Amino acid sequence: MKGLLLKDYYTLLKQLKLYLVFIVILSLIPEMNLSRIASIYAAMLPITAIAFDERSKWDQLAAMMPYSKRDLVLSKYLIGYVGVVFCCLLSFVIQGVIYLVTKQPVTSEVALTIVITACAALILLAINLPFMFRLGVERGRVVFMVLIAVTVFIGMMSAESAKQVLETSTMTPLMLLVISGLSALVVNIASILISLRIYRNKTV
Amino acid sequence: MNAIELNGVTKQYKEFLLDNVSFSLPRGAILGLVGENGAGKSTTIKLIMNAIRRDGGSIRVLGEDNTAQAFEALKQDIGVVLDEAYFPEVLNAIQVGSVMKHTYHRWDDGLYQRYLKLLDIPLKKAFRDFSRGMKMKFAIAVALSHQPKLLIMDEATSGLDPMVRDEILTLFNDFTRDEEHSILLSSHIVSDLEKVCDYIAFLHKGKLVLCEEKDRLLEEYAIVKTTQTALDQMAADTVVSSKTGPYGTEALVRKALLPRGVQTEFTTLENIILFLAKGGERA
Repeated sequence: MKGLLLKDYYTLLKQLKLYLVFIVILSLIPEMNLSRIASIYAAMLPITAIAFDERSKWDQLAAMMPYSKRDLVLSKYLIGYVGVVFCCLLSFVIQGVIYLVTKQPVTSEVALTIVITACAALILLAINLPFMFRLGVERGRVVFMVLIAVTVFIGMMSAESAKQVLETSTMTPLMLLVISGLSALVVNIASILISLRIYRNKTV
Repeated sequence: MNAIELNGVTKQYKEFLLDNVSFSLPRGAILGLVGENGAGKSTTIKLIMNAIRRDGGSIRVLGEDNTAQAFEALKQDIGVVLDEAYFPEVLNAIQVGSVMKHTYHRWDDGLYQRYLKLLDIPLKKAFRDFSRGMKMKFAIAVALSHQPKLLIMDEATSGLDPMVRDEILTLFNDFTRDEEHSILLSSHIVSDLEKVCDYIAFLHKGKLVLCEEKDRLLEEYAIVKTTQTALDQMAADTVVSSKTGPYGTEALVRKALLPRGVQTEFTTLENIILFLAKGGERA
């Protein structure tokens, strides 16, 4: 597993450097809090790693090496998790720096948004990866885009009723946090099981 | 003891059948798996490494059933080089070394550095900028640096210039000086196999046509140039396969059954394989 993670780290090294620059630039835009988007981008890192693997037919070679199929699948999830957690922590650091510079306090609302964005990124990763393992990056991305488009469309259609529900809701921030965390956990466990099943039946 | 044993191995795809293949590679030997493109060589290698599921038969590698849980650990003793399947292209030799260090328990960094130097592999150049020959040499250096007992090479010499091919074949010969070390070398370049192999297994359209000691093949078969009438007069089973061209008839014959006085031509393994493939088609 350590070897696989190291391989992906080296593969993504150039991307990661660009990515850090991207986060810093986003953070400099005042009032926008765009650095939180970085979590969503971090959830896409495993897809980039899979794309590099596909280009060099790494899967075929890896199948000959002492890596288990479980490790080959889990390593991709792990990169995503490390990336999302790193971005989540970085967002807090950036908020801290903003506080030091502008004296604008980090509200619980801001903290909640950072964590919920990270949970959303993890759910996105969990939905994404089984498609990538099953269809490959090229076709997997198309299916994923279609899914996102459908979700956004449904979301927009039901936005008004959702707003009403939220306005009348008695949900506390803590409850929202727990629900987001649990959703991310459940969706990821299901996703890992599906990906393992797909990968085990895959012909390399 | 055999390094690899295949017994009645079958794999069915939609448009291809690897049909009841059986052969073995004794420890300390080099076996050449020869066959045209699409004959089933790569499928056989994937089956040996349990990268794909077989539909029938059994495979033992270094004494272990390759579907057993223990085989995963046994992969530490096997070095594999595949045709056109590499490390991600942005990695360089130093980075691949670090990855392999955390992959193979017996990874020998000193040995790896020596191979890189011997094969003239640049340390910091990204893999995507390597020539094909360099990629292959690099993959072989990696495969050798974790002290494997068995090397499996799929088309490791194809598309390389003669100098590089010779360099690689020398490495293989050095590797098998240790009698515990064995190599399965698949190629469609028969002349390469003739240089280094002890045994030849010939796959044709998914079927194993033969698996023999190379020297025995060269002793058993010969090419004769004669007329069709002369061939027709020979005892049954003498002629394995023949072809008639504008300059006469050429035939692969069994030396032992050949009538006295018939002169044979200089026969290479490639000639034998080509004629056997034709014979296989006719059968």
